[in-house]
Amino acid sequence: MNLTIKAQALIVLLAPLGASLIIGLCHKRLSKKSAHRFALFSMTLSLITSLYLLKMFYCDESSVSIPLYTWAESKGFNLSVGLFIDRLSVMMIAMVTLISWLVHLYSIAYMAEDTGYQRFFCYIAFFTFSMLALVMSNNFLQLFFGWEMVGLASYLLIGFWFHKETAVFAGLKAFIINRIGDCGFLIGIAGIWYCCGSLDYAIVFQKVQAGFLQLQYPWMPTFICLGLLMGAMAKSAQIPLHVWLPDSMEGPTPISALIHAATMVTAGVFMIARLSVLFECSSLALNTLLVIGSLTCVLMGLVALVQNDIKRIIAYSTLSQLGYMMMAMGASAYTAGMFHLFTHACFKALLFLAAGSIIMRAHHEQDIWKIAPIHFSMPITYSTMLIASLALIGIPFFSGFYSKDLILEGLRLSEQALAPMAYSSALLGVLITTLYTFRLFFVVFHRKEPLGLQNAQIDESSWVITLPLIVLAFFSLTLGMLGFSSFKNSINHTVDALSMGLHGFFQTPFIFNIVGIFICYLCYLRNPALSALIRRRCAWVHSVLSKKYGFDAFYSSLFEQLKQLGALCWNGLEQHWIDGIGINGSAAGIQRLSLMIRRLQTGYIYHYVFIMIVAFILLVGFCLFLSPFNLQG
Amino acid sequence: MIELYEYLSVNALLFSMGVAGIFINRKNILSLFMCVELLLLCASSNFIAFSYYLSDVQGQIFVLFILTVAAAETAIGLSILVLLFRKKQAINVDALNDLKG
Repeated sequence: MNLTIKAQALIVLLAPLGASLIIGLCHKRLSKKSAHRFALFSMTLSLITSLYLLKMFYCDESSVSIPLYTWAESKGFNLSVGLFIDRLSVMMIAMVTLISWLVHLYSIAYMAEDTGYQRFFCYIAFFTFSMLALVMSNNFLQLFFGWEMVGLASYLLIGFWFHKETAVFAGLKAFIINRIGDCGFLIGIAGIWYCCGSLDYAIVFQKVQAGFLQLQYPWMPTFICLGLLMGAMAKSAQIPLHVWLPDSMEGPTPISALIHAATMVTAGVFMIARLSVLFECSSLALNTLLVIGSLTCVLMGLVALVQNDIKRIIAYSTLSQLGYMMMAMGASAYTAGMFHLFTHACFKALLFLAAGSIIMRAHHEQDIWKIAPIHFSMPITYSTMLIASLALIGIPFFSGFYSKDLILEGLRLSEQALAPMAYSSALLGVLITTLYTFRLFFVVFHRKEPLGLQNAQIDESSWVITLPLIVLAFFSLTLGMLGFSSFKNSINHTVDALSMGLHGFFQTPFIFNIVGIFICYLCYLRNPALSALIRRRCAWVHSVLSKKYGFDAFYSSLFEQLKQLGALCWNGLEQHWIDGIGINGSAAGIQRLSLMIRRLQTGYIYHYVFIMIVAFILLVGFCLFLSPFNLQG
Repeated sequence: MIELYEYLSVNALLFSMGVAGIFINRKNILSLFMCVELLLLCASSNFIAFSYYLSDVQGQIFVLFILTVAAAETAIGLSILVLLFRKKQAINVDALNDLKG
């Protein structure tokens, strides 16, 4: 039993790595077709095996920790590699492999014309492996390694079109900001090591649950949690470390769907859910989560209202939804947060892939006002995008409704000090979500086209594009109802999905949805002049939102200052003091000394003989007359 | 009967001449060798004088060793000298300062 689990888990984990290595090492010899065949084959293998694992563990509370390999061992010091399989991780595994598989399929068409086709599949398979390694790890070190590997894959894929300068800088930005988070993350891990003397989940959780940690180091849990939280903030793009995510849209659209919407950015949320035992010890950390989550949720949703790039709107929406998940974590509604993670992964990946389908048809135009309105010429893209939008805003019976409602309920019932604030901002977030989602939807699909834009003949994309859309749309529709029964137990009530959905029609969020859709209809379809009027009336709000609250400008000036400080340290401290006097100075001093001493070596024999004899005489004289060991006895 | 101190004073004189020869001689490396030999010889005669005076044969045996070593050393020294001359066309002491720092 255990052996088969181990074998299955290894297949899930290593199949993408194998594909990545094969494609990466032989990419010059592989044709495009064989490259995607390798990748798709290994992903299919991984997906099927992970579904087996899901079936095995879905209704099971047990967990299996499989040690694989001891990396380093010393006295009281053990670093190992292993897998941790339980309900949480198998669900993440299934989600990651499913979306990764769909994105692989989608990329075949999306990247078909690209010269870096093989490289793309190599990276994306590597990403899948890294994400699985992160999710399946059974200790903090491996978690950190996975964390770094997904960061690397993200960097490589954001900068995939490296001839574009903006893409290179976006990749760098993502990488550097994630380093800031990693700093905190490492400190948190070091704190765990210090307190528990182990990095193994099982041991750490056991010690925390036994109350050992809190008793011995009262302030340590808070310290550790805030450190880990910093890592999660960078990875899951929460204020104030969120600035990299909108820029990461420079990468290819399938990447935005897979990495920057569905999987990698949720790693922070996953990590907090995984370490929920630890986070429960610190109400300060939980309240911080609530604050950060609610700020991100509301503020980033507002920014999405003024963006014009279709991918950036969805990216800001991702930020806002990640804010919801963080709030759920802060309210200790871990299952609700994870539920939202899964449903969000489906409908947000769907939104991105549908947007990619539109972008392809619009000849890589991403400005929603410049894309020729699409109407019903792309029925599958249209309907799947509609489903995704409805799921995103949380219309009853769609998947987003169930998860978001559980989060709202969790926030309402939470006993944390800041929970009421978070609850109200989450409610406000529903309205904002509706506004930006339907602004995007109406403008792209229903805008009354200006003359001259309608000539392009637009037709539906090929099946490799539409199949992932349909699969994801299916999950966006049904995942809420399917998953509701297993996720609701967090909050003790016995409602079933149907009555829950019906009840949803009489709740505040639904009213907000209707109001939001109506406003969008008024402003963007009925009377387009209205939106321009509002923009003119609230010019300063618009300018603040367009500048994204000035985070980027602030960071630029901060880094400029730091650069000057660095230059000062380099020139003044390092070059002059450390190098000039400390290192080169001592070397020069020794050289000068040796220049003096070398004069003694004249090379003339009679000088040496003279010194020898004189020294001998002096030595003998010393021994005879002055020495305490008098030789005369 | 010649007293011990007479031997010793002659030897001290010889030794001083050897040392002075080494110090003063700046020209010829051959005479430097001779001075070294002189030093060894006066040490040897010291040994003999003491050995005779103390009626101990060990000193004379020691002298045999010293002479052997001195002969070998001279042979080596002279061959080095020949090589040096071939290389530098000179056996001037002043020319031989390649070890100068």
